[in-house]
Amino acid sequence: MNSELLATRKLSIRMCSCSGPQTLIGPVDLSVPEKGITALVGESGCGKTVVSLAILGLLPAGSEAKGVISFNGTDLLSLKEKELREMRGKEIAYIPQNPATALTPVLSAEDQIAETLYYHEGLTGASLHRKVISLLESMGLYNPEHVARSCPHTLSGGMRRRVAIAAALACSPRLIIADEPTSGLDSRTRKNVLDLLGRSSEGRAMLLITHDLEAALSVSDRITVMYAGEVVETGDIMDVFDSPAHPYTRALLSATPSRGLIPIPGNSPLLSTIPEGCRFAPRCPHSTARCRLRHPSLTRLSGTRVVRCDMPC
Amino acid sequence: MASKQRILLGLALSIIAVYVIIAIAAPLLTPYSPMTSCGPPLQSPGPDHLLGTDDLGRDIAAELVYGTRFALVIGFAGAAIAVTISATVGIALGYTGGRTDEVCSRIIDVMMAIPQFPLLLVLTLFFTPGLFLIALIMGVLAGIHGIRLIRSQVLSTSQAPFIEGVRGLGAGDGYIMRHHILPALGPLLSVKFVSTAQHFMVIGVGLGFLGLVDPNVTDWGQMISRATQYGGFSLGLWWWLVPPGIAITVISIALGVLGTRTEEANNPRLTLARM
Repeated sequence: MNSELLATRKLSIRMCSCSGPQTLIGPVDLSVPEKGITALVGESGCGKTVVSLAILGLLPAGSEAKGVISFNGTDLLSLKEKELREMRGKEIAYIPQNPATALTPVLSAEDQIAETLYYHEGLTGASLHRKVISLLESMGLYNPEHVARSCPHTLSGGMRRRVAIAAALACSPRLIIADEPTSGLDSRTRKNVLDLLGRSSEGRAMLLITHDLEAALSVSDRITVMYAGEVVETGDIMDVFDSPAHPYTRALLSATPSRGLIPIPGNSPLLSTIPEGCRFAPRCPHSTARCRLRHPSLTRLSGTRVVRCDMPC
Repeated sequence: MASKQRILLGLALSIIAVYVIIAIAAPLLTPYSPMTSCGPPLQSPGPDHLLGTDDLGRDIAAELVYGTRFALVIGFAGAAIAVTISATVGIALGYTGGRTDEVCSRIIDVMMAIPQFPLLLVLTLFFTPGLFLIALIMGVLAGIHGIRLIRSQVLSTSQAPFIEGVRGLGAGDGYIMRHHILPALGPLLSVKFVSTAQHFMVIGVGLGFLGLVDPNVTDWGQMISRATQYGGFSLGLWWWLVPPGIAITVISIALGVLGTRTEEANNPRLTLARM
């Protein structure tokens, strides 16, 4: 049975905005099983990355997360910084957004992969080098010895992305959070990286943060859709793609190249000026006066399928 | 790098290496002590005294050779102290941020409002310092001024995605500052070190010329000062006056070339702009 490894319950995040500190993200109820890939999708600025930083305990100064972030039965929000640090890299690893800036520019690829192994597992010398080379080999990199000695600026975007993935996988974490792993990559490299992520997620959990729905479809088992700081739909990926229940999910799917590139009318609201009622109502073709007044709660449609809409499609 | 630039850089490094060797091997290069009389005063250059003797009968060549030690220690030790202070405090303030950064930055602002050179003159007058104390005073003063530069660089570096990535893999603040931010500042610190060393060597000669250095220390500034005051200039004894001037000029130019090349190596746009 594929039990739950990570779960957020009523997670809300208070951050500094133009009009002072306010709750910008939430409520976010997210569930990641202990095996397989869960995609977290949504437009840019909807709060996907902030949720991932809250899970890692890396929110910017002045921010505060409330609710529950349960990882393997432990509430991460109750842990001290030292305990969280022990967990990062070893239990939960993070692959940052931009491959061009995700690696320290003045250190070699080997140094950057090795430090995680040294820090968490105490490996040194030849055994450390062998482990780094085997990790780079498993990433499908040609001539791993050369890549290991190279600084990031001498590597291509795809190679840098693979090095970042290798660093994340170094200590065999139970959960990997991959933030926009395919952004800025050409279509062929994108496919290779997605294949690699698919292989890397075997036997472990992965939270794939992306706004690329087709990438999510190609590798993920489950999907959670976020809009304006809250979760609007969750379910098995095929169920959601075949019959999206939330109008936003439906509109998002219609905006993909394979479904006609139909743009969603209007703009996503600023998180600091969230409308009353349903947050998607101003852009929703099916919205009613009731939608604009009442904020809908998550409703279970079937099994693991939940949606935040009073009139699901 | 063009071949002309390479030759210039090689020449500059060779000059610096020669100065370092002279400073280390000073007792082997001259049989005389720079502080004791070893012949008649104001002697012209000859086989016994290659650059003649000064008004006290001291060998000028010996003074010149031993003076290299003062210039190099003032330059390199002072620059090392300055860069260490700037890097340590600048990284800590820039990375930590918050109220500590605010308070310390305001204190540094106040200290930066005090002109550096007059303060240095007052401190040297007060302490009549020897070689290492001058290097320490100059290093501390320049280090405080350098904190702002390093802090501002760290403020942007610490927000870079690779720092977030490293934190996401479990690194602590101390580790990130030592292993990721400090190496990322390497190019800036190396340029700062070379330019500060050059600056300090010239200032050191100036302090010696003004008589603000311990008279028991041999340095080129005191040599030039003595030469101008005791007949070197009026009697046309160029071998007393000119060599220390040439010595400081040559090392200063060599360090200037090294500093420019270091900056260009770290910022290729400068080379392109010149082409």
